[in-house]
Amino acid sequence: MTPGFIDVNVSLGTWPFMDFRIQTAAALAKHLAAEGIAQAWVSAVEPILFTDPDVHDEQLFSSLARFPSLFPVKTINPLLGGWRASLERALKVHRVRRVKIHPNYHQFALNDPRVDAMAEELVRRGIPLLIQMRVEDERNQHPLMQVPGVPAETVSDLAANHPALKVVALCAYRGEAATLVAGRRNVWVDLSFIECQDTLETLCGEIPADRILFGSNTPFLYTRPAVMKVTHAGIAARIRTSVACGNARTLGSRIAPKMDEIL
Amino acid sequence: MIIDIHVHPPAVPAKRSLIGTPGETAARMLAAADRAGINALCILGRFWPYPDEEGIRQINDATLALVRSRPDRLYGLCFLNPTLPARFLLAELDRCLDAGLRGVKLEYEVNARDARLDPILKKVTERGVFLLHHAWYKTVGKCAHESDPSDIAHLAERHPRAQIVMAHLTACGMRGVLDIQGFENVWVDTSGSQPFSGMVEYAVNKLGSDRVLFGSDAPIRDFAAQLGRVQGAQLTEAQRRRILGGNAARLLKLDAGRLSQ
Repeated sequence: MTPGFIDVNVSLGTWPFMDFRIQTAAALAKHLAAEGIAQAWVSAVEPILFTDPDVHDEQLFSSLARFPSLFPVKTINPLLGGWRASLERALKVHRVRRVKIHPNYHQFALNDPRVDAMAEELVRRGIPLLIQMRVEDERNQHPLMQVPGVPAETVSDLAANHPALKVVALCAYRGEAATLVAGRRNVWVDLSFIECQDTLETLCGEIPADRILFGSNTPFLYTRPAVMKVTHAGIAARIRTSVACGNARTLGSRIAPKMDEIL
Repeated sequence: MIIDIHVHPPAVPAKRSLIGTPGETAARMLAAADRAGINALCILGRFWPYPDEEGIRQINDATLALVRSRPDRLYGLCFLNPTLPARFLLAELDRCLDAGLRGVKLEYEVNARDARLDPILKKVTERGVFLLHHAWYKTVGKCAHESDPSDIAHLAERHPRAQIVMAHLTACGMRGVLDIQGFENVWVDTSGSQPFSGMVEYAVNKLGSDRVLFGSDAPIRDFAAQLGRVQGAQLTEAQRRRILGGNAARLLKLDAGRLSQ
């Protein structure tokens, strides 16, 4: 029996190319609980395309407040003026402990000095950085909305330049995982977009198991496939548990031992 | 009973052979399927693109050997390359069906609109078997001659009595489902791309659960994760049973007693 999962890759909101059945925090909490997920890191969908992340993040944080299993994630665009103030507000008012960026949709390179400034601020505050590598399979995107994934090498370089920054790469492909993790003690990947026969066993042969986090990319993707990658994996229960929740718990405690009272 | 309609044989393309003997390969495939609780697999053939006549025979012989090693759990389709002469293709199809294979698999050697598919489809119709055809709506990375769902619809319109399974629901998307909606002789399998939420329910709503089949695309994909698309979808148990096995059993012509075991 795999204990309650910690899902590091969950969203709430609307996306113009999909019809999400889960529209509210209550529905999300109920759905995730039914899938065996005890805690989820939840970001808003709209800031991917909407200019000011604060507009929808504020709505998200309010809606999540009644659900202790749903941990809010703040979206930041470091190219926008005022991101420090919005981060400060998210930390103080909404007790946010995780930040996400969308370098491809927000059109910035990870070697931009403004990204370095944000990274240093997150290190100073003990906040992990979630980098959304992609939200869709590039082959299936709308023809007028083609957005390449974030180059894995640039994520690795960012992690190298900021060794105290905890970087979580979300929706990476299997072929990118080794590039992301190789030689870096501060990079993790989630399972949502990684798939091959015997996914978890295979991936554990390619990267250290302690770098693999459970992520479903709900509601873009069905939740159950990610769950079953873990529950049906032919590997030691100890490793399944680490991936399901242990690694995320360890990551959380390393990042902000005093701030993150739940993890 | 859970039947996976879309499974590729584990092969070494450079060596043009299965990984291991047929018995070893079958055992490896079934061990992985067992972990996910999948009872039977339909093997599609094709280890490398554009095989010639000798290559086609080699592929189909390998599929037959796999199926014969575990006839209780493995079924197979005859793979064909429609760029080859029709006389050869039809003779090879008869050979494979007579030997126990259950239908035909076509990939992207030729687009589904191409008239070279017509004699194959006539034979498929005459023999009462089915065709499983690759399809995908790709924004980038489309292969030469690769079919999209509108091409499958064109094929279905030309051959209204032929049973056609369009591969890769989640890669064909809503547009692909709408393309084939009006063709009652077309089914779709659940494999393809990522497990985009709501697609199985959408296909069931538009096509009916009788026209949706569980397919994994293993070993490119993970049996368990692919099964999760269907297990995690909001369906009635009757719909889920049809998708996971009932519909495939009818196409593969498995007997009812076998199905209940």
